[in-house]
Amino acid sequence: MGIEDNSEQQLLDVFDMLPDALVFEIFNRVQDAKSLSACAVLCKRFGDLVAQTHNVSLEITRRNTLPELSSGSGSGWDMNKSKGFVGRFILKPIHALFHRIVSRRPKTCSNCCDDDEDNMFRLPNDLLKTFNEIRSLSVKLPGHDGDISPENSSGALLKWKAEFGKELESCVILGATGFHKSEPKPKTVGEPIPPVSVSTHLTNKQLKKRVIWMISCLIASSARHHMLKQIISSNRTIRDVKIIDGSKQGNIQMTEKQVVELRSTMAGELDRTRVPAVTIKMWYMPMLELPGSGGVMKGATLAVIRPTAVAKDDDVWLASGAFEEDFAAEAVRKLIENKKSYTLEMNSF
Amino acid sequence: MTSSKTIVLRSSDGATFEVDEAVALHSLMIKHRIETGGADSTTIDVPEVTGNTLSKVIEYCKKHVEAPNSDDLKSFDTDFVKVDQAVLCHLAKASYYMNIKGLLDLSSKTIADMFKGKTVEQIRETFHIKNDFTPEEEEELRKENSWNLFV
Repeated sequence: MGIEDNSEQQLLDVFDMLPDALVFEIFNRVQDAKSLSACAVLCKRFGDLVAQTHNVSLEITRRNTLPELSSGSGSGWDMNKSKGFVGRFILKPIHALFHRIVSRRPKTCSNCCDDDEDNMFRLPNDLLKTFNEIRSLSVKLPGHDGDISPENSSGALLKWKAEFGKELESCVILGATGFHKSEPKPKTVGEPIPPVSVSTHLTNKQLKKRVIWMISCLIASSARHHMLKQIISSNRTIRDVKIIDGSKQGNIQMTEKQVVELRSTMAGELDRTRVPAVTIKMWYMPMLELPGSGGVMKGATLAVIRPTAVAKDDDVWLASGAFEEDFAAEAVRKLIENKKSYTLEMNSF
Repeated sequence: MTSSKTIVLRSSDGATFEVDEAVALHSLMIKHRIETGGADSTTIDVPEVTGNTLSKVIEYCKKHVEAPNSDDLKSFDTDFVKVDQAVLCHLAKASYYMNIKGLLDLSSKTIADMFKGKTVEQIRETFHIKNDFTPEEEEELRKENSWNLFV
């Protein structure tokens, strides 16, 4: 009996001997909000330290938020569906519009609509209640994970990265109607790159499709921005925040300066962030080869969206730095080389 | 002239270790002691660290000071922290007090990873955390967190 007690004692001492500052360091490296919340209920000391953690990352999984959904509608959601999922923060009218435009399976969408909206809307703040001193927050929304799904017959691609202060500051979008990955071709020295002689003229129908892509990205990004506003208004200590999704489709982040700006304008708000009047610069190539990273893109499109009120000419620089993946960066580089580009303007909505 | 100067480190349980000054300086705490201690500081006490842990810490410092660009540094680090929890925690504590950033990062990240994806009960079991909440407080916590932690 005595010996058992002793070894128990030894086991218990493991965390006891670590100073609070060190446990705090460890919690800042754990970052995952769910694991930290679990730690917070273990003992008082942990509870106090977790509440003070600065760096937190929050992953919202479908299992957490939608226990009542059958797995049938959860799997096999393609890229367009995950966009629709995020768009559900917005007012019902825009909601409906969004679904008409984007969703490929309107029936299944409307079935799970209402539950999702409530759950998704409530959750981020609930999950963050444990933390009082968050400085740096990263939120990961559900998406269908992994690369562009091979089951997705069209192999369509849509990626965006948006920056916000109190309003949209910029949005870079890369899209393609088809993308087939293949082995990267080895670089052969001295082989001249044949000049692009294919017409890059867009038909009305193609143009319309791209405008729809842009609207859906802008809506998705304003929905996330709205989520951000909720989060930063209830977590006064946040300095920088970003929201990404599981399928690496959309990325929105705010730096300290932008967070401060947003905070200062937040009293008495609309239910969603207004998208300001924007000017869009767009590049297009019907067929784009990516020898460096391997693959061919059909209908490749790059768009850089800026508020019309803010004139800036660093679009190229912005686009080049927008996406991390090799294939995306290469596509952006090649599209920009194309001297011909379109300019569009859109009213605010 | 002083290129092979050695320093003696003394642990909490009296064990002594002779190391090259360059290796010892990897610990910013020791560096500070040497710089402010005058010419006679060739023996440095490290009362927060036991002999066993100190010898491991020295092994880490040696590797990182003598071969900082070697290809197997990463695998050295990975293997270095494949130790049982108690040793890992001792290492973290030592690196904290001795102010050795690389080792602190490595050990605390390893411990942090052990928390991820675990339920409350699993964490409690892994680290043998003593529960100091009263039954009423515990009940309150369960109620507040039922929807995400105790489902």
